[in-house]
Amino acid sequence: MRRIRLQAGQLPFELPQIQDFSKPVVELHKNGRYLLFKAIDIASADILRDLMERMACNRMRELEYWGVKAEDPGQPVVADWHKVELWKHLDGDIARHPLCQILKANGVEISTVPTLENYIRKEFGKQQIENTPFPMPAVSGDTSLFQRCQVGMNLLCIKDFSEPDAGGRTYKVFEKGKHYLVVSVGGSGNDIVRISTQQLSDNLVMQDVQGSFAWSVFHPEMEQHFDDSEETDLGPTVEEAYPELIAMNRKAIDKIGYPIYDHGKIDAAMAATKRGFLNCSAMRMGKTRTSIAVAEIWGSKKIAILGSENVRLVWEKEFKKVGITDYVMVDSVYDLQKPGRFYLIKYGWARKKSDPTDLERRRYSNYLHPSERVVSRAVAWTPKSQQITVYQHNPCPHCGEPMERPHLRRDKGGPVKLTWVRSEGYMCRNKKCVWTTDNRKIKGAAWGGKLIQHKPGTYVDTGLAGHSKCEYSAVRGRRCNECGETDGVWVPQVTKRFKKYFTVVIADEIHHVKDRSTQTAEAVYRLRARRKMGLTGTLLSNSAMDAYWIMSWVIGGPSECFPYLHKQGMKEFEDRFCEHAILEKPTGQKDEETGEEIKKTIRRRLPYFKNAPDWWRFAAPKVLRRNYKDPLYLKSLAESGMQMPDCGPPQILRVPMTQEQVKLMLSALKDFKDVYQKAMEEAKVKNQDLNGQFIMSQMTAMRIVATIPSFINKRFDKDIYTGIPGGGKMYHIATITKDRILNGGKVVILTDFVEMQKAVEAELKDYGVIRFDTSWDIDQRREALDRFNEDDEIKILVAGTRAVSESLDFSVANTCICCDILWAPGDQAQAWSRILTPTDRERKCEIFIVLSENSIDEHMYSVFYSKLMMSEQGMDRRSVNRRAVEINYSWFAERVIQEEANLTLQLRESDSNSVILVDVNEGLMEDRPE
Amino acid sequence: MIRLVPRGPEDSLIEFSPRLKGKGNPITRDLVYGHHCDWCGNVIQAMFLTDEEVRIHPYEATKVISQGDKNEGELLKIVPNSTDRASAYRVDMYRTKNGNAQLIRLKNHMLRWEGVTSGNVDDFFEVGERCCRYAGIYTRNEEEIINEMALVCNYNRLMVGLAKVHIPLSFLSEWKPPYTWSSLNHKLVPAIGKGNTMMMIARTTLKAGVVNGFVSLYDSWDKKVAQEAKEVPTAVV
Repeated sequence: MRRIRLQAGQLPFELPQIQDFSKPVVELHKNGRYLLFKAIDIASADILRDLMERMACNRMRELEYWGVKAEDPGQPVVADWHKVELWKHLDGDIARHPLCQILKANGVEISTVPTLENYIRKEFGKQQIENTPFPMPAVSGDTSLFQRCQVGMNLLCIKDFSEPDAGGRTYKVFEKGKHYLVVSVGGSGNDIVRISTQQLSDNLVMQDVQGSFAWSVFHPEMEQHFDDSEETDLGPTVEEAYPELIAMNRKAIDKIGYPIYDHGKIDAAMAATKRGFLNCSAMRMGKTRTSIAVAEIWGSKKIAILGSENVRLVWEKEFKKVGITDYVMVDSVYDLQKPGRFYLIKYGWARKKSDPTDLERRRYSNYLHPSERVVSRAVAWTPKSQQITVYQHNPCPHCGEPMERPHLRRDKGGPVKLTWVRSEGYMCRNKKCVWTTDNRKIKGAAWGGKLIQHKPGTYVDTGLAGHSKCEYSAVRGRRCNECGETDGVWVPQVTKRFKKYFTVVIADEIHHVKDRSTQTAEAVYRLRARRKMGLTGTLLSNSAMDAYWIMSWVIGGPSECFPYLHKQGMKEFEDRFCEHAILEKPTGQKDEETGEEIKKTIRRRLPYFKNAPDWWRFAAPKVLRRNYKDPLYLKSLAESGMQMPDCGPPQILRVPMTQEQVKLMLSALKDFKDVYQKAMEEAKVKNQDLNGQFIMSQMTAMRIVATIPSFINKRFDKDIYTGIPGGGKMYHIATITKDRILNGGKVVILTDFVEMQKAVEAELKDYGVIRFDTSWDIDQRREALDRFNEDDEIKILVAGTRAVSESLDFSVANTCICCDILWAPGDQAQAWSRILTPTDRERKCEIFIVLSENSIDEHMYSVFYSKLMMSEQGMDRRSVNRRAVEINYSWFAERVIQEEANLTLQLRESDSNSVILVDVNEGLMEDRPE
Repeated sequence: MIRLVPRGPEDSLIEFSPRLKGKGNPITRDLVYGHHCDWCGNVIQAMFLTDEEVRIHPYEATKVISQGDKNEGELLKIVPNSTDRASAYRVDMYRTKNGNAQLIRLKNHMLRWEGVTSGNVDDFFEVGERCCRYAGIYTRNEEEIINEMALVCNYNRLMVGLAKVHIPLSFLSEWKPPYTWSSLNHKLVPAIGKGNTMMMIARTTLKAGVVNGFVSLYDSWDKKVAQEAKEVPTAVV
């Protein structure tokens, strides 16, 4: 791509230059991401050193001390001359930096070296482009302004508002054209929005009750007086701000000649202006082809494409469709040497590494472990802990007995005694330990061709013998630095070998690497490239934090558009975007004076955004997003003769469980309660938080009973459940499936349980079923998918929700039934979106979510729904009802407790077999108490 | 031995002669500025022109003077020696486009600015032995030196109006210190070479008794300024 360079003098500010050559001079250099102050003569070097030392004094950091009037009173005071981050000063005169001003006050001239000058000139322009937002159209919602109001929101008064005072005279409360701030929302029992009556200014003092107007549901006319559109105005888009660049890129795309949708062309043209971006358009909207076009515009020669096995298949198909042949499927490091431009790499292969002793090392039980170790253990039923010395002996690899070593000891004045000790032992003295060395395959050597039978009790570990005299502090990781002995053979991750090999890295389905601690994330984030691209339809699954590491890698940082760095930045990011609930939790300890139970405050992260407009402004320059309602997308589909299927929101089927299933659920619930209470007590004793992962794992039994109760038999190897394998759900799944097949359609059935997949397959075997098995290799997968798409006899595809959650095309099916739901709505939405691929024929699609009534399914859906709403709030600028945002934990807990009573009641009545259909808009979230 | 040779602002020298015979050659360098303490007899600081860094270890013979109430001013030892091998000097090398220089500063003879922020007297000094009863402040602007010293002593009245009041160094000679302020509490050390005067203050003063001294100093200055303002003839219309 041809870069448009800013000419000299085009900067809106001047860089510092030497005015008086008789004075000492300090030059400004670029030192990585920092600014380097470098003296060019001895006098300035001495002054610089002196000032650096003086910055240890708080008073001297202030500009006033040096007689300089601060232009900006809120200007940050920088103490460390070595930590002036350059990116913060690209958009202004660098000479205004406090340190430069202090230098000037001390009679030192400041100048910029050409390298830094050129960098600023170049980078300033680039950062302007990087900070320009992509179009981010808002999903039109019918949420009123009253419901949208959140604390800190800036409202523009568009019509004067007057109210009578105590004397009966009217006075103007809000004036047209002025801005006012929302100071609080909610209230005890009433929904009230308080707007400060003082107009917004620089020195606004927040007034809560006295100086604010209480807007309640009794003031519907207030909707006419305020407007919040400025709050969500993201400014001109890339297309509007840089029309010449976009036109140039469009020309390049036309030249390439790939068949791309119109919206894809515009997206590619906009995205190519940036160094890194996230393409988060909804599923099946042509992200892959857009990415190929962007890579072509960038003119890259070595492009890595990372994805799962299914993703590779899709990319291969796309390459064939657009006529690209220079791609390489990478399965080994040797494949990287093959000539090609696009290298398709599997996540599974990239993350491969081998550290067999890693777990043992963490448990202090590896080969080089210390012979004794002090650990602290909790004393039962007391909050205290005690120190215990644990002796760890090296076992003989042949007999398992602890090995020993000779120890020479001399008592005062006595003779030298030889004793055998187990601490740091390396010799096996077991008389029954018989061991052999098999050298029969070794030929040529003197010891070769023989099976040597050693004498019992003669085994010596030479490695440990060498290590026995070493201090344990010398062991660093897998190696002892004193004797050089290692605890195992370590094979590093394969990405270490090609981390700098590519100029462009495209990470498809990048939501798989949202957790930095995973091996996949380690592999992906290690890859360095000039340009990076991330593709995903579901960026936000749980909260805004899902986007942190992804953005950190794609955008890089810190920079103006992503001012966060690695782990240090995580906290700042979380504080800025994530909403938190403060909960009080008993600690299990009592106050000695008052006798009251001491409670501790816990901060829990909620899925919703703290300030949605702030997130939209932050995300818009990096995230390219189009949804199914995007007018340009619909237009370009129509132009190419394609259509989006007509599909409403997922339909929730709340089905009653069978009697036997209810009984089983009751016992599972009781078991869970017991386990939960025990865990709570343990946590209290240990003064620790409840282990969330453990509690979740204990809920699995309830999930199994709600979906596939017959699996319990297999799990416990007993005939506990003798009813229908799929429980209450199976009847409804089979009915819907048969109905849709009779109407000439195909059906995709998704479930996370393999047993349920098998049960559904058995139930519907007469209708032509394919069960998608994750153990299949590429060819088997390809063949099965082709059969489902092309064979008219095959009507049903049963698959795991996570197995088909990406890149596959099931557009032949019009119905998708989800037998259960995942905790992560992103994966679930990805899976059901497989049937929503645009086609050249008119289609009406249906998505069903089957939930067991009065079961864990309902609670899971509650969490699922709130996460789904958050994702739409963040990605599609959907206004979320304030009531939905408030998560009431006590309500959730009460509902779980109530289940037992509901189930008992259901067992008594047991005559209902009807299915209750719930519209998603009247979903479970709306049941919440106000 | 390290010795400063005063020959005027331009021609002053610094001489390094080896502590032990046969352990290094004598070196002479052009001095930019330097200060010598009369009390302990050591070079407090010196900046000199040199292209190659001068390793001062063979030449250094820093005298450590006792600071107790009874035996104050007695020579305790000379470092480095067979037991104390560490140098008492901090060395900074300036390498610039237009020449190279080296700055040596006697540790614990110059005050550190960390002490002002923390308010802890010990933070004014580096960890280690203190060779002299005085510690100094050196500033390029002589007018600021009294203010800086007051800042070091945490004199609160000055913290408020520090930027406004500049007491020239010459006023110190006119100032009549109060009875609580001993003549040994402060010391002015003129520079050798092109530098400014360094002001030194006794360590004990940092801990106590400094406020009275500075109140008196600033009051005297205020009186003088007021007197001068009166003496200025005003035109009567």
